[in-house]
Amino acid sequence: MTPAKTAAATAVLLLLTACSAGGATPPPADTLVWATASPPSSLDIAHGFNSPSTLVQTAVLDTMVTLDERGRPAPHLATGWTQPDPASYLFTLRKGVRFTNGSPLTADDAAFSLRRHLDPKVASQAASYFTMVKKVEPVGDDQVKVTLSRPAPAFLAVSAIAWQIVPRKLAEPHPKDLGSPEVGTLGTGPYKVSRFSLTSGVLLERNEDYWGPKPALRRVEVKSIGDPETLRLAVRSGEIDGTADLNTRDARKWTGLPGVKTIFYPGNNISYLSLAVKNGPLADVHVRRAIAHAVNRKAISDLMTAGHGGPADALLPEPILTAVYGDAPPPVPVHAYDPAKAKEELAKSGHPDGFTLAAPYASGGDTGTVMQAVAADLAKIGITLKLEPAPSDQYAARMMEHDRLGVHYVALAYGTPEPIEVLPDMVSRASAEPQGFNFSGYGSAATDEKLDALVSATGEARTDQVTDLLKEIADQVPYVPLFHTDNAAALNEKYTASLHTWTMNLFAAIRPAGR
Amino acid sequence: MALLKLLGRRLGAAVLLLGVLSTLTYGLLLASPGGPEQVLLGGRPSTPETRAAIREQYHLDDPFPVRYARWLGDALQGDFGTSIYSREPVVSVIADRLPVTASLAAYALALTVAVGVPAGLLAAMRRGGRLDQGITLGALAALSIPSFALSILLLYGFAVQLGWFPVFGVGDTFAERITHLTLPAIALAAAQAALVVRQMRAAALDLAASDFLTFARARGLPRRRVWTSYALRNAALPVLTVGGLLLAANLTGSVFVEQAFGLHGLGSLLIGAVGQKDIPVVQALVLLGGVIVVVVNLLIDLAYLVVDPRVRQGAAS
Repeated sequence: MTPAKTAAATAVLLLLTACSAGGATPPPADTLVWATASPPSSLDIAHGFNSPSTLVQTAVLDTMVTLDERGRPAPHLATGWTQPDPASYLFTLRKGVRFTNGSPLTADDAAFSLRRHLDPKVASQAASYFTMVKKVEPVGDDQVKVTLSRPAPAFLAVSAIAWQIVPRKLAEPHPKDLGSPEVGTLGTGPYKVSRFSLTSGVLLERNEDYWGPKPALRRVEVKSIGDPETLRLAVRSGEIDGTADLNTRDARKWTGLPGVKTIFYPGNNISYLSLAVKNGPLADVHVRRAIAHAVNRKAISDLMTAGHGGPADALLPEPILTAVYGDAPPPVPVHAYDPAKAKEELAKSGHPDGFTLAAPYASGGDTGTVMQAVAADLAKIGITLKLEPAPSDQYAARMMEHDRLGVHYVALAYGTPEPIEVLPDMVSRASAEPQGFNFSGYGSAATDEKLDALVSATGEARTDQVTDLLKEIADQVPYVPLFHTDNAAALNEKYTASLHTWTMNLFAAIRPAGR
Repeated sequence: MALLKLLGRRLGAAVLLLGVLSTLTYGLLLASPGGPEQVLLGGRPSTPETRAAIREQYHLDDPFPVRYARWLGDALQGDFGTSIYSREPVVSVIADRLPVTASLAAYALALTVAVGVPAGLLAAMRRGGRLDQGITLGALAALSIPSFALSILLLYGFAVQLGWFPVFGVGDTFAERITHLTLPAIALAAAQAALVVRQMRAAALDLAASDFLTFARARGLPRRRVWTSYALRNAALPVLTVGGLLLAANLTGSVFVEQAFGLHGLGSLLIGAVGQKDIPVVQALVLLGGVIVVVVNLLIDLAYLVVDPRVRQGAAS
């Protein structure tokens, strides 16, 4: 054979082997292949407080308490708790629980698992959740006492998210790299990790000795596919059974996929415009009110959520508003879409004829779409936004440095039904520092006092304080609430799932269809 | 002796190149806005204590020369540090991904050569004919389609509609890896093969009119012998150059194809690491890229020596 022929024959041979081995062999129905847009970065919430990582963490690690389907704290590894005084909690540990390597769970493990988030050596991403924690100590064999610096009812809810129990023996020598692919993690949860790599993904096997209800899926594989279109094709071809990383704006592309069902449920998120109040034309409250009236929130909401979400009236995620106010709308004034009123407000300001403002935005993702819609709305009242695209990483870095802030589109997601998780991010003076999330720079000693009082408030007092803060925000307009989006998941019809806003362990909520 | 001299000269140049590369990369990364805090804080609200602890742990307040010297000192001892994003040693982060990129690069290069060289020769042999026109047009088309668009087309056609190939990933066994990498390799190789076709065709056309080919034909040698032993060998130099450069490019820059096929290779690692200011990873990758380019170029030069006696004699004298 000549070299050319050999080469051609090799190529054909390769293609043939490829074809015959191609196509996915259907795995048994109690094995689920799940995809995330980015790989889990760490199996420890201290260094992987992001959705792909917590997705795996919640399957492997148990928390001391959990949230029930209405978002209220409920027993989990703690069978219950008492409050010796309003600022302390005494948790009683479930008996006979073992880590998946067989070692028993102790009160010392549980206490250490919370204490480590306050250790500067750990530099935990969950540290801001536990700033009110003063002391954590084991009491006897089966109790843990947590002393707070003052009463903070939200402590239980944030614990349900971040107080994951790991063995002290493993966690203590690894302050910086617990949960990394090299060190791994160990939990008492419904699944154990049999493989964790940032490239080939995560393989979870059911923990057959789990103390709680046995999950229906025996094995779960988690893969990551960065390109949204490839992800969609992989779900369509059946290679991937499910994903929660679909953009609701593209929901139409997913709802028509054969053999795939889409699930939508309220997400704990809020998307809004931030207006930097410190300098320039935005320092004028009439300008900010004009912007609030000029932006057509309904149109932007339709554009961005494709019907799976809705315009936001107040600056809190919908599930948090429901937790505070029930089904009644929050008693907070709303800046309705009204260009005439917007012009009136602008006429009252120091810039009656409008002005021009540079508006940087991230060229990837949704930011550009929203900012273009906002710019079009504002142009109608004479405000010109000069849109300046920047690479997403660079844009985010600038924004977190609070460098040249102006009009920004922000979308944030939260974990608990507690307004105190959100409001200090928005209007406290501490968050107005670099790396904080108060991009408006709005804040005062008086507002900080209100936030401070909200930390310890309960019942009706809490409701009133939240209303008070929301009214202040609506009146001063450091932010314009835009919309909230449903969470979405796509799932092969071989499976069924019952998901809600407070679903803590996603994989435990999925089971083979018809069982 | 000449060979040793060549190697020595190359080694010196390589060290200089890598030094300049690493300084520039480090400096540029520090000069661009933001730092590794975004990754370390996880894009979440943080406490001042955490932020201070991070600045101290990662020496973020030290001036550039101090930080660079610290990195260089460790790197010279073979310690490339720990990834800020994944908290794994950089060496294992790269070792995890190198096989994916290397097999993709090799597969794509094999396809490029297997298709590009014969097609280019064929086009030159049938100059001006239908076949030549077809091949040239095909090459133009392949050159014009961006690899990410071709990736999606291939995925939709061969993975979703026909179901012949998997949509994403690399597979575990060797056979699986071949299946998984076939579509990405085609996507990567298409434009490159087109490049080789044009190179090969141009080089072979130059030769077609040369005296030694006419003489070979006059001696009554069979056409196949004329083209493979005489034309191919003489046209090999430019193709070798292009092939080597393509290999180096594949090993460092197949990021679009990696992204489209959900492959975790070096390209996507580099893009991610630059965005996250994961300096240890970026530094190691840039050095690796530099080494690859140097080594590939050296191999090309050595291949010249083997293929072309004229170069061999030039080097010896």
